[in-house]
Amino acid sequence: MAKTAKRAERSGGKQRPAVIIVGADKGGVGKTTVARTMLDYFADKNVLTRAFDTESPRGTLKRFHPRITEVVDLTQVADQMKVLDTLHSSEVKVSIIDVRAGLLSRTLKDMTDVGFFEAVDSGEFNFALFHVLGPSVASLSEIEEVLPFTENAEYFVVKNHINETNFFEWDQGTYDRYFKKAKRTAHEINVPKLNEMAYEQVELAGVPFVTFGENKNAKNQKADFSLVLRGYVRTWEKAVHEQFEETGLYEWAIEGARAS
Amino acid sequence: MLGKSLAILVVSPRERSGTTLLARLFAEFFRLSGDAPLLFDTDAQKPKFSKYFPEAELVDLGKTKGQMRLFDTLPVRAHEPKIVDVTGRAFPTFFSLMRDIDFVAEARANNVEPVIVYIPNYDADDFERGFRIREHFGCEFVLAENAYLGTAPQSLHGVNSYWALKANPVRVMIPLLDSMNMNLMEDERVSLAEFLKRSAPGATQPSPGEKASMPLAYLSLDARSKIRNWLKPSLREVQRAVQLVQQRLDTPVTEPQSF
Repeated sequence: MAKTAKRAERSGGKQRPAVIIVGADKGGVGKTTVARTMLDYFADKNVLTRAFDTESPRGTLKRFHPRITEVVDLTQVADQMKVLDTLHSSEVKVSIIDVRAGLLSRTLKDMTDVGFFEAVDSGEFNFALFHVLGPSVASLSEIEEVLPFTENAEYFVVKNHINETNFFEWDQGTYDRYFKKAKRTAHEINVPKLNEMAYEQVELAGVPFVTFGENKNAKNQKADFSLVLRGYVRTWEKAVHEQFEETGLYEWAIEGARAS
Repeated sequence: MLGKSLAILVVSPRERSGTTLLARLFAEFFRLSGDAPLLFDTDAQKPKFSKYFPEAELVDLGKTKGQMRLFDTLPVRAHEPKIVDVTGRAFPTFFSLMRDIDFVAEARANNVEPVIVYIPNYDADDFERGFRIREHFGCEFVLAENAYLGTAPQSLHGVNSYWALKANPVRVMIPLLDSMNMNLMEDERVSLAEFLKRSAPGATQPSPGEKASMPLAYLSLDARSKIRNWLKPSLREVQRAVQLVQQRLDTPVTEPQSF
């Protein structure tokens, strides 16, 4: 996360909130799952986080994390203001935006138009993109589209194996070429497959993964979830969090918060 | 007040090490003591334990539902003991699940104490594996040696884990029974407790009609005596181990039986 350090110098100690976008242009690749496990990760690290769910009008992320999630429509100026104009004023310095399927490129362009990336370049914000990919070639070609927006950002390529996909169409040569051309690299996160029955039960329970693992319901009361399914969820989420940890995500987010 | 109930997990990393036999001994011991243990057979491929006890539940650990059936039931707070036969085939899945779901903590939270009864072959790998299991799970551990598997070769004497397990506070030795009589005991229709009762001196002899449906009814006196002389010390070994574990856990001990 060397770029962040350089920008920190440029920021001259000004407030520097962290913005994380979780998105993909292809649907059904598990973006919200990644955003949910990230919220659990930061909660576990005692990092206050706010989340924006762009699945307007009813968001999936909000269903699982209602207290900290707001549903917004980022194509609307009013909602863009609600997210971006509050980055400095909000006491919560880490914002996670779960971008609905198909809107990643559009959102990044819109954010360019409002000068967000200029602000990132000047060290006003820390920005990370979690680009969730499916196994198809089409998914791979999304990388080329979003790379220009990550010049001064942390770029995470997330391979989500939620449907037990093997990324059989994944062409490492093509993948490497994109980054060689852009003269940069990406952090790679592999989200393992979670047992289907466990995933289904968490969906039904409508609670964060961590809450399910702790056998609690949405009201924080003791629940009666299966020990086996809870075990699957805990083990799975631990594996994802370990990868977040290895990439230095926590330090990156905290650095942004500390600069304030 | 009810004490802790035991979840007895009879395990071995290898096939034909005697897990089913020892699980039967535990089940019969508790039944003779007046308990009604819950029984589980984890070998979905070649089930044996559940053949001896029709009430035993056969669970397939390769399937989520089977895993839930076993691991969601074992930690349920109850006075009755639970006995699980974990054969070599089920061994790796059983322990990886047990680790991943943090079964020991959940069981303890419900006043259930898991007891791993480990049967090694006389092989350094088996002792090493048993040692690691004991250290990792930190629950009650019983080293069970099966005389049928022979004796420890000299080479094992240089293995630290061998001595560490030999010094385990609770150990069980299953004595040797000649193979002909052991084959008789392996008959799925044979109940060890029933045999003990029927073969006791002065026991009421079955009628010829009853005899027809009893697999060991026509045993010679010599065979009967050999089996009794194997079965009684085996049950005493099991009783001793259970009582030691209960004492270590500071929980009421099972009513002693005079086998």
